[in-house]
Amino acid sequence: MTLSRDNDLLEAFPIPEGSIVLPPTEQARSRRGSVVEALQLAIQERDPSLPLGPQTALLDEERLIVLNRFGLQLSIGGFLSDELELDLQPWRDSSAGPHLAVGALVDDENDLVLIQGVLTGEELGRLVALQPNSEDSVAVDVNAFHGGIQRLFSLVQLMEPAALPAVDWRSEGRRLFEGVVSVVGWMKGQLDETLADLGGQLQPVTAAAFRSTGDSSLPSEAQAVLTIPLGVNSNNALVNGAGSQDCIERFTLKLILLGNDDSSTQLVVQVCPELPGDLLPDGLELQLVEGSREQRQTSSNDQQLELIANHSDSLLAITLSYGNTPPLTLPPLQLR
Amino acid sequence: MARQGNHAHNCLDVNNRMASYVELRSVSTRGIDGRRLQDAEAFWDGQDLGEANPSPELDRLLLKRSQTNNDPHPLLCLRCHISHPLEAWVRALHGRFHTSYDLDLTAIASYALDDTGALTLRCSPERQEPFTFEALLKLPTGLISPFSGEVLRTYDPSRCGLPHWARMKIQCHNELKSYLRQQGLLLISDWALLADSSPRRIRESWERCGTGAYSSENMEALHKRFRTLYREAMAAYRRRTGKGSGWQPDQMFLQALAPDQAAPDTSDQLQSMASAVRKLMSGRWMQSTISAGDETADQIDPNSEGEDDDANPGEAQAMRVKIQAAIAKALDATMPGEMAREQRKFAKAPERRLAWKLYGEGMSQREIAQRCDHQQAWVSKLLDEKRRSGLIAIAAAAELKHHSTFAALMSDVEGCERLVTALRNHLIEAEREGADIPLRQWVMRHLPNQ
Repeated sequence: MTLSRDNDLLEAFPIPEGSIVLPPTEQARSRRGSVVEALQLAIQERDPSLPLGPQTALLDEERLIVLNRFGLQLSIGGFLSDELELDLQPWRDSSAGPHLAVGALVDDENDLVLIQGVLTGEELGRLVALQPNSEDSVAVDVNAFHGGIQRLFSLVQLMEPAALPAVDWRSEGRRLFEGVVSVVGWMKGQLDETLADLGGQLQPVTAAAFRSTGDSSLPSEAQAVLTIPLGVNSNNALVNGAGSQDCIERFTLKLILLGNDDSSTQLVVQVCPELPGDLLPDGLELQLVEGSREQRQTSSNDQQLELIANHSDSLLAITLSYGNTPPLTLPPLQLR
Repeated sequence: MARQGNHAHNCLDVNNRMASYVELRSVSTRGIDGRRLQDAEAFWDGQDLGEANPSPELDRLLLKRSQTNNDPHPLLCLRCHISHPLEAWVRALHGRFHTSYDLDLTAIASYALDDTGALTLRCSPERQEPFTFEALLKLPTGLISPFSGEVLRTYDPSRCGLPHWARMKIQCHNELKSYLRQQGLLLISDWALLADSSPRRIRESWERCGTGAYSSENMEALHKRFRTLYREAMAAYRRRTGKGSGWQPDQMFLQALAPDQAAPDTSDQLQSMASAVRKLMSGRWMQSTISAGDETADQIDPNSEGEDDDANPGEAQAMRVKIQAAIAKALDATMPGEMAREQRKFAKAPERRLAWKLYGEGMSQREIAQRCDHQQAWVSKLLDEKRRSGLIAIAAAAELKHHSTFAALMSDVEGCERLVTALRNHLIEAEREGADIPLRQWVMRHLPNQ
């Protein structure tokens, strides 16, 4: 017998758990058609009264699917895809943007559909922030869509659409930034336009200048400080830049660059009340994502929130959020 | 003596080289075995091919002779020749998956190795003709028997070697795909695999598993063009045939893909690319099967998702009652329909009912598999615990969300997911020694008698 020299090739693939088998049909289906049909089968199994629409545009590739009042953006690939393309335009431009991105895999040859999982807008925003070159679309690792069809139906059957954290990707001052900002440029007094648009101000870089400002709270090895004035307005919404001066609750986001060279650079991220000794509003959440490492702090009778990013090659994603209002997301920062 | 020894060695050597063209591997009641065909041997001896090595050139020569001479014998040699890589493919597939899936080697082999070595071909129920190339071409389109005939009549030597062609054809054998699908496995063609792969996967697989002189950049560039052309070609194929499977790249496609090189070279490059991806995924699949046994469900108690037990023991008890009631209601709403669908299969497969009975009695999937004489994958597929517990858990959570205790959980994604996970675990896992497991209890109480 001739033994194959390729016995280590994977010739067959296990059918993933949760795959939905579509009934055979004479007419070839589009991938979107396959996914819609799979969703219809899943609805029949769970709760036939769940509305799926719009009925006249279910197969329209340009339109969102609406399942029980949740707008779904479908991101579809072949059954063995490792990445799925996701169009960012619906999230940016539309006044009725999606609530969830659904990753679906279709096997045209075997009439199988797998709902890989779901991303909320917040989760998607974090992923996109780490891809500096994302423009109109982004390639998302298929495993980033998580939870399978169960997560989809858990969210759409049990939650209200308004309860999902809103990500306003359109509004002035909270645009989804496309460029990476190099923090090292701060030492030369270079402030990126995107940060300036947020109301950011770069403080003088010399130690003497720091001392002269009377800000003795800064570490001695601080090389530069970026401050963004913030506030919470009467609608309990987060406001940044000049608009924060009209807020009753005012505080500052400080990014303090420490270190003398590339190998020891650190970034200290602080949120402090405008007036020393004041308390921050409860429920203010500061998040720092550095590669696979995520840090969070939420204020509760606190005078300061602080997180530290160590020197690394990963991009930094910094987000400040308050309640259910749109968070403040900085452009991706690079320490090196 | 030495000369005799050398002669014996040379004969053995020649015999080994030509064995692939005169020994037919096929399936029998004893499994897969081989036999040397006298007609093939006689033909071989009569040609000037004694010391020729198996090669694409020899395959093309034999094919040409079968086409020009209308003689079944060169075709017979090729039928023997392709039976060897087909057997290797079948054995590799079975070897990898048979411990996890209910795969029968003979069943798989029956699709690929159904050639009896006859010199005649059945062209209709009443008529047989000599097994010539001409007779093959006269048969209607669609899969023919034996499978070797299908391989040979569709073979285009300008695209790739015959053993690889045989492998590509078995990968899109619809009946074999259907059999494997019933067992929980998918055959996916090289083309669909490449089309599904991102540039990142192509780069990684080539760097780690690629064999061949092509550079990583070259492969990525070819892959990028392939994806674009494949989408267009598949769209046209679907419009023309109404099918989503069976497409193969033809000469025109390969030339359009890489105009600067010969089509067989492009085909070889794509084959190497697909092999590298399969090897990469093979390694990952092995890792995932090893680690799958280590996974344990998060033990979140749904009773802990509401208010603090210690603060209000009375309220905690009331909450537990609500949870139990919601679960019971969800079970009664969901499981009768599920069990009715299962019951339809009991008459033809009584071991399915036995599996459910043992499940209700508390046996593990491994124990159930042993008692039912099946693989564990069969039990897992039958019970479909994850899907069913998910359906019931969401239904129970929908009931609970009307209670103020749980309403707060539904106001954020994490809380909602925690509750559903907790309910799912409660349905299928014992939270402590001796505790009832609701799903199993329901099955025990409601399993139909037949």
